[in-house]
Amino acid sequence: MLPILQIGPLAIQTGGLLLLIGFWIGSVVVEKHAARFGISPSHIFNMVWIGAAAGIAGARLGYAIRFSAAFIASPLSLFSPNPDLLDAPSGLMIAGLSTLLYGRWKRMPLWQTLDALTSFFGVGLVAYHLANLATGNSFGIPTSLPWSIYLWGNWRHPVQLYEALSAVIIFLIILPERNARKPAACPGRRFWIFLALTASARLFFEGFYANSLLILDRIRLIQIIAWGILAVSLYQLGKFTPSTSEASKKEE
Amino acid sequence: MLFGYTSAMIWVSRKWNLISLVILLLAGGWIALSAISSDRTAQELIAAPREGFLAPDARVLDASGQEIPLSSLRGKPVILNFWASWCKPCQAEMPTLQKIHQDYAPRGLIILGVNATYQDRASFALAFAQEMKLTFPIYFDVTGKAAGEYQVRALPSTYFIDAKGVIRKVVIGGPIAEALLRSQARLLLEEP
Repeated sequence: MLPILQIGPLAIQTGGLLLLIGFWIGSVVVEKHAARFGISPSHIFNMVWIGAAAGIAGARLGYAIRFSAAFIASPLSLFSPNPDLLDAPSGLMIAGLSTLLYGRWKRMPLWQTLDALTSFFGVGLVAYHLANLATGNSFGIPTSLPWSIYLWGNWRHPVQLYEALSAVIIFLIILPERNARKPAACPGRRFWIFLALTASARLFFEGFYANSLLILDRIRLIQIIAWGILAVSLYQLGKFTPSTSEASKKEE
Repeated sequence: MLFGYTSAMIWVSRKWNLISLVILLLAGGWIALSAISSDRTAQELIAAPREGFLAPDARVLDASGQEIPLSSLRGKPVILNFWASWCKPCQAEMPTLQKIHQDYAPRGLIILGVNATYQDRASFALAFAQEMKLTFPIYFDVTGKAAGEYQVRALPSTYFIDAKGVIRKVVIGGPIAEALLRSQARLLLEEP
């Protein structure tokens, strides 16, 4: 765990730094992969940055609405660089909405765009889990396994490492073919594969988390959400499998 | 492989619904198997300097040199701020902390400044507090033990602790925004 990187008098929050690096690498990778999905690299690059800017503004606005009295007493706090004044669900909603609007404005095809964005999501997830490792967030249940890490008063499952490694493997699986000359077939398939794999990994590793949100006092909420996403992804992926007759004909 | 289809792929495409069902059933089984009682996720019995854990019971000194255990403050929400008189962000956020103290102390919120005396001087800290007209209590961590227990890696570091003694938020660095202090103060006071 290394929450603060001390460089001389400068104390840098490692989690934030890793997220920034992840965002930058993700935006470069998505720009590089875009053409393979028939998407303009500049459009997808702009889309990612617009989404990020709108997401940050939306997250701050969401926090300000939630605690309006605090901001009425101190309106200048709206412009504070403090990342604790952000409401993540509002930010994600506004980021999604703004990228959708930008995509419509630029007439970007939905499924190809999602396929291209998968590279960005893949890199982003790796960075997110590494940031959690650096800050000590999302810690595991106690264990005596030899690879356990000492964190918050106990030897624990290194869930952040499990997740980061699985995110790297998923990213490698969904990497588009390096020498593909024509746009990938089956628009949307890459996105649904990514979603199915990510949901499966989350569902599995959530079982080792110590700070899960519970429902019915027992069941981990994230696992239920991941199960739902996995079900939808499998259903969507089913649409890409060739029909039995078509497959039989091709076999003959 | 014929026309790009292997027999395995054809089998998978024919049995896709069945495969999906098996995957979902296995996933459901894992959800049931990894279900836990809420008691097992309760971090509040362990003392550690992060959200959801019991605040470490560090000992600090008051201005008269008397030792004060931080656990003696349990029963009231506390904003615990580690600071030093030479630290510019600490200096910048002190007027805001004083303002929050004035507004929320009548409602039961305690603002506590713990001076990192092991890398400062008590006399400098007291002079600074006087100059800034700080009226909330200032304690002294002379040995650095309290900072060690709270794993203070940068100054200022602020811990929002509820009335049960559980840390609800940690903010490393500063100056802390006034709206953040107000919003967190409200959340602490609203805790049942």
